[in-house]
Amino acid sequence: MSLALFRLVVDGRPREARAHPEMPLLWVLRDRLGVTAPKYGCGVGVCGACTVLEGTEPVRSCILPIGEAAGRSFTTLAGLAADGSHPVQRAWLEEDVSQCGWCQGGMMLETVALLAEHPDPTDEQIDAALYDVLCRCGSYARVRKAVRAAARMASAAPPSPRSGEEPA
Amino acid sequence: MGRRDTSRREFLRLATLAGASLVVSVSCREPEAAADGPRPFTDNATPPGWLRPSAWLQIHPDGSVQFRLAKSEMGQGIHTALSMIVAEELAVDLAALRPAQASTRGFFNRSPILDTNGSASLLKSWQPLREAAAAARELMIAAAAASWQVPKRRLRAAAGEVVDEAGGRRAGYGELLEAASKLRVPRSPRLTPARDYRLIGRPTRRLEGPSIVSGREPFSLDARAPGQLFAVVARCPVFGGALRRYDDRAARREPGVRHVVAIRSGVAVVADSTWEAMRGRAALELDWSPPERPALDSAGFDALLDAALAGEAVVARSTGAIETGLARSSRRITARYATAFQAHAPMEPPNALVHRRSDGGEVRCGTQSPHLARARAARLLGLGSKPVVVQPMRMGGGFGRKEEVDYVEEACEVAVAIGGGPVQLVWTREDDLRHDHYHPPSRHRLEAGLDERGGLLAWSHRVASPWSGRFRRRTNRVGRPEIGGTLGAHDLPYEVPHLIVEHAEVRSPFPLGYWRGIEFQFNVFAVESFVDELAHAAGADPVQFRRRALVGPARELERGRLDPARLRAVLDLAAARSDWGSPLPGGLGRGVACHVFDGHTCCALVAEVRAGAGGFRVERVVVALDCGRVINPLSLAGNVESAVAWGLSALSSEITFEGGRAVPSNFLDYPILRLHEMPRVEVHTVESEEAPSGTGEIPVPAVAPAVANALFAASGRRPRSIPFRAEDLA
Repeated sequence: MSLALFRLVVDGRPREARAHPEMPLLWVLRDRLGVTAPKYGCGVGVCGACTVLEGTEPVRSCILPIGEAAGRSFTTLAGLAADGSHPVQRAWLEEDVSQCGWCQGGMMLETVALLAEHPDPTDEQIDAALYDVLCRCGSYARVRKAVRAAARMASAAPPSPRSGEEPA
Repeated sequence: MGRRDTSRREFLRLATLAGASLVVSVSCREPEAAADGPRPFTDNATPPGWLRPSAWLQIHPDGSVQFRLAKSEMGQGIHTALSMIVAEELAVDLAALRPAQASTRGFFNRSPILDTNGSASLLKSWQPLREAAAAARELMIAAAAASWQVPKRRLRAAAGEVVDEAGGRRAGYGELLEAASKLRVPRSPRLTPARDYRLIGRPTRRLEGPSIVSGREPFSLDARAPGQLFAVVARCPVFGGALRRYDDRAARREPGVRHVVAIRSGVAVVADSTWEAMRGRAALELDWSPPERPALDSAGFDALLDAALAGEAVVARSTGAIETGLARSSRRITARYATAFQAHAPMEPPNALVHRRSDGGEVRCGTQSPHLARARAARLLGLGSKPVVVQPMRMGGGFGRKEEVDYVEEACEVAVAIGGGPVQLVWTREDDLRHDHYHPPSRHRLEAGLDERGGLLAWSHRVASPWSGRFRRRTNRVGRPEIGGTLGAHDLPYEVPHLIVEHAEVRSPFPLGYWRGIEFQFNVFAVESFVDELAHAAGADPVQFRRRALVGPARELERGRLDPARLRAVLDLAAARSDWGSPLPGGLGRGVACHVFDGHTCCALVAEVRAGAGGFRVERVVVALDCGRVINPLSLAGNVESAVAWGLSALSSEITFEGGRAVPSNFLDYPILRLHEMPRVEVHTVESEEAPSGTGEIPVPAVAPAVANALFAASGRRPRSIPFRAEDLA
């Protein structure tokens, strides 16, 4: 069985990889292209750790074959804003959400998608959007706060908080 | 002088390394290690006088400070907390510190200080780290005093400088290195008094936050080496079975597959990517021989547990005369409790990258046990006296799973079999859930007697369970009965005149390991649920019932200390902050539970639960802790939230077995808590001047009983098993 060459755009950069057409996008990104921001958690599309965005649409990269992903453009957590200036990143730092951090890419990119659709989401909309992003550390309470903070920040533009500093 | 003596001596050393960096190293004086005496290391290469030396700090001529982090970060915030302690005592800004995870190389190659377990990182690091940093600070002051020919008392250190206010002078630490290198490091440095703390006790965001939210933080599975291959292993699905033979012809034809090799645990497929390795594995034809004993399923093991509860048991603790106490009681109450196997399921499954070169070996992996990993890797890589280094990586969750090093061993075996690697061995989620080192199940039989005034007169608790960990037997070093299986039971905090706590061991054919909360999880569930039953039987308020029994002097435990007064204060705090006793709307109930974890942190937890048709919802959890001095309230609260989520998850998850194999394979059949199920969590701590103790797993054991007790208050139905059963909620 021979491998085929696939082209796609990752975080704004054109990339190409040789792979079996059924190889999921996640493993093309991580093992072929060295893009490790999307994480492996379940391999069957139920935990959300591998989430990437296509536009503002969340995609579970662990179940999307590269044969279908080819020619499309994806944003990983690393492509959101390298300097951490995206409102969702700022909100996540503000609320000190991350614990181990493995699931946070899924949480944050799902939040980007949620806010694109609902700039001021209700609790129910947050619950629904993040229903299938699993966090074994239980960062959920802070995730909820951070989604609200991100919604506020997206409509204003306060200065970015930094780590190692006391929250206001 | 033997190693025992040197191990107890504070060891200070000053050396000037190439590159004009000043290295200050101080021995790690672990309270527990001192009590244990020397540990049996298999290697004997420790130089004389260098038992457990360590070097945390390195001050550079530019004034920056490198700080070696000697604990593994898995989300608990330990790297930030340790950095705060060092920055505080060294009188530098947190931002001036350059923290980096220590490997097993050099100073850290023998000491168990790198191990991260038991919620004991702060407890063990607090004193030696402060002393190391304070010694370096005083050394800088002494260097400035010598340079300027002024008395040391005229000088103070702040923000990485020594300041002479009277003389109008100041010098950065980097400028003082040469003068400092001619001096001895102070042996008993003055520690910064708490009233002067700038950092300790202030809510501080985790240092690696920016790196995480921009996807740059390198986790274990993100480790990359040029030319690396990826491996997965096919393991016998039935525990205890063995590989008879295999056919790898089809697997080798799969694209990207480079090697198929048999290792002790199964057959490894090595490929250009993880997915190609997984695909190759699926194409293997495998023939496993069954285990020597008949394979068990869950019902079979349950029967063993139930039988053990009725059979022989070892007395873990006994006071008074239980039969007399029960006979004299005016009321006797009995109950049985049961808990199930649980899995760790860290979001990042186990993995390790190994490179065996001719001149040495390198292992990069998330691990809570770097020393054990190094020792096993050194043996398996067969490199003789050549160095083998383990570089611990950030973990996407550990929870005790990564105290085991089976995945490191597999990766080493594969590296050897394919000519050295580098190769990254990855466990899939299915591997993780079906081959975990599970948290053991338990059965409990409790009987108590109340006197005519409703006070506790007699208490009998028998626990049947397997041992959870490989180290547990070592705790029996004073000729006392094993206590591992009764942690949270034999250390009952309540005063009872007649008491017996027994343990009946059950051998498990399934691998077991430490799991966040260890045996406290099931024993505290049984104890604190039963205490609630007793309170109701006595017609007493559950908080008041506990308060009345939290009396008497503090007791020394096998590890740590149990002070009923301290726990009572924590219970009072939780009751006050949860508005205990105030009316609740219909359908809601409050439940309380409290315990002392491993002789250090005291915890009380109040849950508010809404009971509905066939289900329940935990709406609010109030947690009070006495964990000594709080270093970082922000990460402490995070740990508590996390422990609550962990405890709640176990109320609806369970590992079951069929024909000797674990049934759940992924998050669909091993459910963990989801965002919409997360309650509001409020965290309160007791003001304390004591050394900081653990928070990471401490609230876990109190979650289930508090929720069960709240359900009883709300609905009159009492769950007596974990996971809660549908009939308990109907």
